[in-house]
Amino acid sequence: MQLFGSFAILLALVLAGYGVLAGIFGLARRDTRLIASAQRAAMAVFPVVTVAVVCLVGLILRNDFTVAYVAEHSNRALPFYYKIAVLWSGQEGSLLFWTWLLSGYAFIALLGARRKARGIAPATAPGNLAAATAGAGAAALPVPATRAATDEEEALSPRLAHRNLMPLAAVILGAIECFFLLLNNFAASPFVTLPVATPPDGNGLNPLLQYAQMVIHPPMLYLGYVGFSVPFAFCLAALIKRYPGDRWIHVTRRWTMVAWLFLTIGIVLGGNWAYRVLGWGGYWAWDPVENAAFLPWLTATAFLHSVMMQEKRGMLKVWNVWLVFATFLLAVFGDFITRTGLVASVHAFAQSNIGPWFVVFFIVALLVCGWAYFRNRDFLKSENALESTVSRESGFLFNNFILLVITFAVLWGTVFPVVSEWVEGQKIDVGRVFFDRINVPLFLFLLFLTGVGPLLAWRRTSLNSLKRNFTAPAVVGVLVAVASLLGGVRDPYPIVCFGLAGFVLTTIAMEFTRGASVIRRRGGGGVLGGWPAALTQLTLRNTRRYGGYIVHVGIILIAIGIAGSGLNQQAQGAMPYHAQMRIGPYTLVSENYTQNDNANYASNSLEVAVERGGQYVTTMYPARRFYKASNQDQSMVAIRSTPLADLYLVYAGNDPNSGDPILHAYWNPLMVWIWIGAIVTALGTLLAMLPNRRPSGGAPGGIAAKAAAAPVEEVHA
Amino acid sequence: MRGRRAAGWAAGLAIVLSAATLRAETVAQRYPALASKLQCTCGCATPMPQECETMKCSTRKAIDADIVWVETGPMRNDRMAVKLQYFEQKYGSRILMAPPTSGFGMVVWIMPWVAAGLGLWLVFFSIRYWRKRALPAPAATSTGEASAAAAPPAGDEAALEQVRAEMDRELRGF
Amino acid sequence: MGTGLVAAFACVFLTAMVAYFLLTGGEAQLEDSPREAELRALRERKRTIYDNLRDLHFEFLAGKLGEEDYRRGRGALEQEAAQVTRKMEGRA
Repeated sequence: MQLFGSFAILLALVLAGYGVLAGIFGLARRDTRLIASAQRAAMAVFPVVTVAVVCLVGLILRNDFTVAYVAEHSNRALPFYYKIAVLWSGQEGSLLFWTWLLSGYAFIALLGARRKARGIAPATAPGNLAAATAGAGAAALPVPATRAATDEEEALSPRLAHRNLMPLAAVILGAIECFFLLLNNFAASPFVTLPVATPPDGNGLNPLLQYAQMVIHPPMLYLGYVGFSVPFAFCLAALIKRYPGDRWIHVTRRWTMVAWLFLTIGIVLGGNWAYRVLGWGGYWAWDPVENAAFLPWLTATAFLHSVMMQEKRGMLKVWNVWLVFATFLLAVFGDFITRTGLVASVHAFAQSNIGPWFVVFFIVALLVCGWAYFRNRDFLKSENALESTVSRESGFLFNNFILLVITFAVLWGTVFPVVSEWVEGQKIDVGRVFFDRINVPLFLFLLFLTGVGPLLAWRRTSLNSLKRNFTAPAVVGVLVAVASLLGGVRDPYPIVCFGLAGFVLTTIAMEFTRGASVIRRRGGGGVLGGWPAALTQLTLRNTRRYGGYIVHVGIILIAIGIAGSGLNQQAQGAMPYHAQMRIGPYTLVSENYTQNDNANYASNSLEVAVERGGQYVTTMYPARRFYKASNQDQSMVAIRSTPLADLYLVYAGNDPNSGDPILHAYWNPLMVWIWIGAIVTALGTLLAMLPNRRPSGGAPGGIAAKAAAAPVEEVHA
Repeated sequence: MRGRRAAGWAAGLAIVLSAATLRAETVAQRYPALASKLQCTCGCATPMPQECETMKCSTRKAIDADIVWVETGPMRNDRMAVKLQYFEQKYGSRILMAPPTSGFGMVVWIMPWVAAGLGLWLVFFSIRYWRKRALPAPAATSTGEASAAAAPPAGDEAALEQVRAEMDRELRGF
Repeated sequence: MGTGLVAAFACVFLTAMVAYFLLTGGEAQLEDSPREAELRALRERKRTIYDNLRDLHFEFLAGKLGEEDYRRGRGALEQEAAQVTRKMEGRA
């Protein structure tokens, strides 16, 4: 099986290489057969890599310890689902997994281009298009109110750009695939057999990774990282081809949203895993590997905002292109520092000597980006001008400014140990205090902009509009800040954060209610005619805007959860039978102490009764496990979550003298909102990816006539 | 006489007790001040006042003992920077929660704000640049006239009229 | 020996499948001529301007914008649309 797997990744490399070369020659000579064949080769990479992945998973499931990777990362007693996770828990496997996801993305993109090509064939056949455009010129097409023909819709949709850019984007994706396939074949093959005798059992999966979140977290994170290759490919292709119009930026934006969604889920699952597994009561430590995932997230977030400047106003084109490039390059950089241990990290799970490969790839990618930009920079000239400093445009500029400063601060803090070692010969490590001190005020300002931005009008906002839009949110924000001060919060940052949360949530609520009231006035909202129907209709009409607001709600909820950590409490002590401990509003009573044993691990567990005001609340079971195959022990945290706070218990071991179990208790206010916020963010992103449902127009008594006939007429007069 | 002796004993005891209390208090008070600037070096990067649960951590115990030693031993009256230097030399810079604010370590603190300054300059520069470009275009007048109505270039009127009609139609179907 | 033979057969089979897939492809469609593409870009631009108009109008109806802001925004969009229309007429 390992032979077949090895052959499959070699064949995939040949296919990807052929796809790149044939694509380049085909495009240069406008040879349609060669281009088609290159695209088919690019598609075929995915099923062939899938064969390799199936082979590796088969070897893992069959406990074939002749293969070094299986012996190193799996063992017989490991449950089935964790055996699947073995695929990405080591260097070689995770690189193959990476290639697989990348080829999968390319496959989906190519499939989409093929299907859409068929769909729009009539509109884009040379004759038809010429006829359509001649008409367009004379009669100044389109007249949207009368619903242009479907073909016209299709021709103006981003799908055409997707199809037109696909051949070159496929070449770029193929080149990226080639790099990873080279690694899979020659630097880190997962199919290498052990040179010595086969061990009776494997070393086992790191116990820290034996959690449900850990089965999902790496694939999500990888889907995010890898996903940024697709917008990068389309953006680079558009730049090289000087693709006319702005639909290519829609294609780039849509794919960025997909990758952003996965990366967000991946990062939050990582935090959730750290919180539930590592047992230090926190979820984010500014570790280099965490930062590595956060960096492309920040630039992608900046892009998803600044892209609106390009779509709406034809501005910031250079900036957007470089944000897409930076996001891809930072994803590669993140992969590089994660895998090579360039910077010391807790995540030292996959260190090896593939560093030089990544350095070369990074430099080549950077050179290609630079070359494409300098050659075509006139293509990215801005079309419009800024009319006022108080406008939505400025809001976006400041939003991008803050996000990029945060990106720089995080990147700088992450690489500073290496920089200081080069410059000084002595390594200076950067702990979380640095990151917190620099980033917290910046994030608070970003929260403020989250509220302000949507309230500003494009081009110019008058003082009148400012007053109209800002009064209520500002009042609510101040009231919330004062209430949290009166409620006993003393740290300035959480107070400011709660105040800003009140401000932003009010602005969003106002956006929804104002929009829905227009729909209701118009008589919309369907059979029910009520608010829920109006809100639904409003959201579906402009999914991107209202989905975006829901994402903002999610981010605010996460901010509330993070601000809650300013109120954390903790306590620690030996807990012999019937001993008590106080934490937050709770009293903890030690009830029992048990031991268990199975094939995978032995465990000690403590039974703790939780009381509040003398009333029994629940029983919790913090435990400690000893994993036999890997010879490591691991604490199993017990958590009780409520909307107000988490009670977090860790069995910290036994007192060396008395043998009594030691309990470490944390009381973490508002923690659950981080996870709820993440779910809301993900749902909002999904919503924003749905196509808009356009209002059925044209009917007399439509919105303009009914709701605001007078002012509109006046304007036209 | 007995009374005086008893008073002497009492005074002596009080001095010893208060000294002991003072010492105990100093260590208890000083420990968090120093510990909060240090983190565990076993790989968990947990701040020292917290417990490290990641794995069986012997590093933490050694650092704990060192903090107590520094705060009670000959170094107890040294400046915080000197104490931190002691830990940095013994455990490496990974033990410090925050990079030093002196020497090359200062660069890490300064650069983000330098970047912020540059970024802010860039933002204002861009705004000014775009605003300048906007000036020749017909901007809204102080009388509140619509900018479109201000001064369309000659020959544009027909196109503008056509567009307005289209826009009206568009919004009617809205 | 037996597994080696099976693996060899599997490799040959996989290669054959891939070769079949590569060789049975049709022709790719080339995109429009530069002139058509440019005209399409203008139509796209016009569509975007109308989308912006719809947004602006909706915000006005929702009471988010004052009349002054609405007038100014609409005026600017009319200008932009007129420019694009003229360009389209020039190229058609």
